[in-house]
Amino acid sequence: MFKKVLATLALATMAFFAVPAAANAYGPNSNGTVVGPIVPGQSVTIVFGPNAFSGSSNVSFTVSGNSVVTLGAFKAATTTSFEKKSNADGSIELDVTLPENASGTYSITGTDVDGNIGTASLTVPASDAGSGNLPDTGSEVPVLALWTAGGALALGAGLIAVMTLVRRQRLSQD
Amino acid sequence: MTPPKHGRQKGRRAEKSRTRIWVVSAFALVLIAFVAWVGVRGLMAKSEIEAAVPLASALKDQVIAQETDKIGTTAAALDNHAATAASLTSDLLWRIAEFLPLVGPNLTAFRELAAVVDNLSNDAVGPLTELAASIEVADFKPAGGALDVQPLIDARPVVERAASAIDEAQSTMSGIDTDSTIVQVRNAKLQLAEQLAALADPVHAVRTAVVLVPDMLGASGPRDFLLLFQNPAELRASGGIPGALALLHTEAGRIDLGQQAAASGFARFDEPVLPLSDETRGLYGDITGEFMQNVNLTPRFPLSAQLAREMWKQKYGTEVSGVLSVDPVALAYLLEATGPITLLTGDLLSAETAVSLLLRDVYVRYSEPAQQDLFFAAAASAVFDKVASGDLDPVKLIAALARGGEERRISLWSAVEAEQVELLGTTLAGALPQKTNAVQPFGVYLNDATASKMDFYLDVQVADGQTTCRADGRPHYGVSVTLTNTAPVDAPTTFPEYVTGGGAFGVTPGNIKTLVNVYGTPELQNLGVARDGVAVPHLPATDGGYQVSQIAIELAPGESTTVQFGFLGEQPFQGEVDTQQTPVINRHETSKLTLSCDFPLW
Repeated sequence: MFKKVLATLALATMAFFAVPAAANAYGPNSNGTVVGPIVPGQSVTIVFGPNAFSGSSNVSFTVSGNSVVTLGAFKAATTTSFEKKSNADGSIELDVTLPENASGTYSITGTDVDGNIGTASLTVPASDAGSGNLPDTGSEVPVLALWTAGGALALGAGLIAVMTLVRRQRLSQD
Repeated sequence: MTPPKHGRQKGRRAEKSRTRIWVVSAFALVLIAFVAWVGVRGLMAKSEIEAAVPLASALKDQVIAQETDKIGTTAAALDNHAATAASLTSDLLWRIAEFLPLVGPNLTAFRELAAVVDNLSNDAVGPLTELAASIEVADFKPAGGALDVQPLIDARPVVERAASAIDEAQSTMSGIDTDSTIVQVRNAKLQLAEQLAALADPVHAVRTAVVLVPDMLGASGPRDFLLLFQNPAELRASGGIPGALALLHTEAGRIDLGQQAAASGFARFDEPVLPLSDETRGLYGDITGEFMQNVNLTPRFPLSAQLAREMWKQKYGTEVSGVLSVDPVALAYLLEATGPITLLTGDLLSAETAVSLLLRDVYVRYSEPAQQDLFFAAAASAVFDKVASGDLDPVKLIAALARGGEERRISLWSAVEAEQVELLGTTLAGALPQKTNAVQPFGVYLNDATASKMDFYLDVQVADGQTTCRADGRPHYGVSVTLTNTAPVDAPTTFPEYVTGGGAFGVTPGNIKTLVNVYGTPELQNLGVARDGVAVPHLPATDGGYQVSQIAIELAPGESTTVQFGFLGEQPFQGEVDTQQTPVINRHETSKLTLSCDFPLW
């Protein structure tokens, strides 16, 4: 009995709500990838795939971050915004050159006239601030060495001061 | 021989030294008495506290076992020991002794610890046990479609007092300095802190419950909630597509299931129903706000809830005051409390059969999505009726709800701001995880890109870990996600099109395409993604400060791959790594990842 009700209701529901598969294209897709390592002074390519933007439309890119990056083909131009035309299938490739002193995260946002949007964030990992030779755990030894060196320096300074005095005294005695 | 003058002098000197001996011995005596006083009282206080510890755990067991006749006696004994310990360590001589070098800091810490225990016993343990003795678990069982919320309302003041006593104790504890004390005192503090943490979580949970539940059940006026029934056979960040929806009406403790609808009945909205941030649009697309099936592409459940609420309002006119979401696995947990339910179709819905019936068999049996949705709705309402009737085991019900919440299979959002603030402190909120001093969290969120019901066959194993390779001590974190398509090789030909997706989205039938999003907390730096040990192109992005890497993975039947996500920490970290994940159907425990310093991402 339930099956019968179910079938009737299903038909009714279908009649009301059925929509063509294409119009109901709800499946998500990743619309961008970054190709290559993110290294200061080098360029990296951001690829927005088909349908990321409207086909053959002007996409305007903006960048926010700690310093200025170079976008696209204008090698000389150092800029925070840039416009590029998408391919016929809505895909687009963008070359981003990071400055030598790049640090932190750069967020790149592209928008077209139809309001499509593509984003990517490029993070330059902080370089190792520790000095490479010192083991992490043996910090007492370097501190001791520092004090010893500091002490020697003070001693040396004192010695020079004394020697200067002695020389002056000798000079005045002469 | 000796001159008398000398003799007198000698006598005076002897007298002097006698006086000195007297003074010294008197002083020594006083000192001994003083040391003995403080020492003996210290030992007595120690044994009082030692006697209190087993009582505290006995009390916990008695509360759980509902041994109401014993609870009072145990609580009184505990209180007595705690009070004695506190008074033994707070007299004038003890306070003076605290100024002594070496010994002093030990005595100070001891006194402060004893005071914390005493305050806890007075303001938290005592009142809570009285409350526990007066309430029975059976009180939390609906009867005739309604839950009597009055006991919860009555419990509020006591629970609030206990919760703030625990908060206070925790902040006092953090001020107790055991850096220069003997190891026993330091251990005592650590032990107490552990006990306190174990007590804090359930008490805060109870506090949240007594504050929220009565109003949400309509104690102070009727409420409407939107119930999302998530389907993890088609994964979304917070679980699965909200395939079936229903209205819940609450009034004076009574819950009624109202209008039901299917997500497929919602046409695409022309533009996002609420404005989305550029970051959400970039990572998940405008479709997040345009399709009911996509509101939970974002792992931020509060955002998903608001989008679903707005869609429902635009279509049906009702503006709900909250959104609740459950998945079939949580339903299976509930069935452990209710026992098996026979559906109108003749199917037996039980804890064992629910998942395969609702997420696999239904697609094989009914070819039309609308029929499947009706089946889901019927199943949900049958379980709902059974729960509302009160024909269930309340202890198992609470355990089922707790487990569902912990695994993120049950989420709740409230449009009432004060309620949402309360919710944000709980696992039910479905918010992004927060970093603490003890935990570095990550999030692994999966979205199906096949537009199919293949995720019944997606096996997901998550592992996480950290390693320190840099001289500056900043740690590397790794989160690995191993995906396996467990569908049979003949799936493309034997599975119905609705299960495989039929290639409609450019995915070969039988294949599973998944968008994997891994979230790191804002202070981390994103080091990218490696697939099977090789750095690969991916989408690095940010979401409200969080560092995100997104990558699409497509797997043929039988195929498996491991993607590893790298992050760099801000400073050396001694705590635990903890990864929360999309509640997939067969959830495995997160395993520990052993990281090598020689890895392509760092």
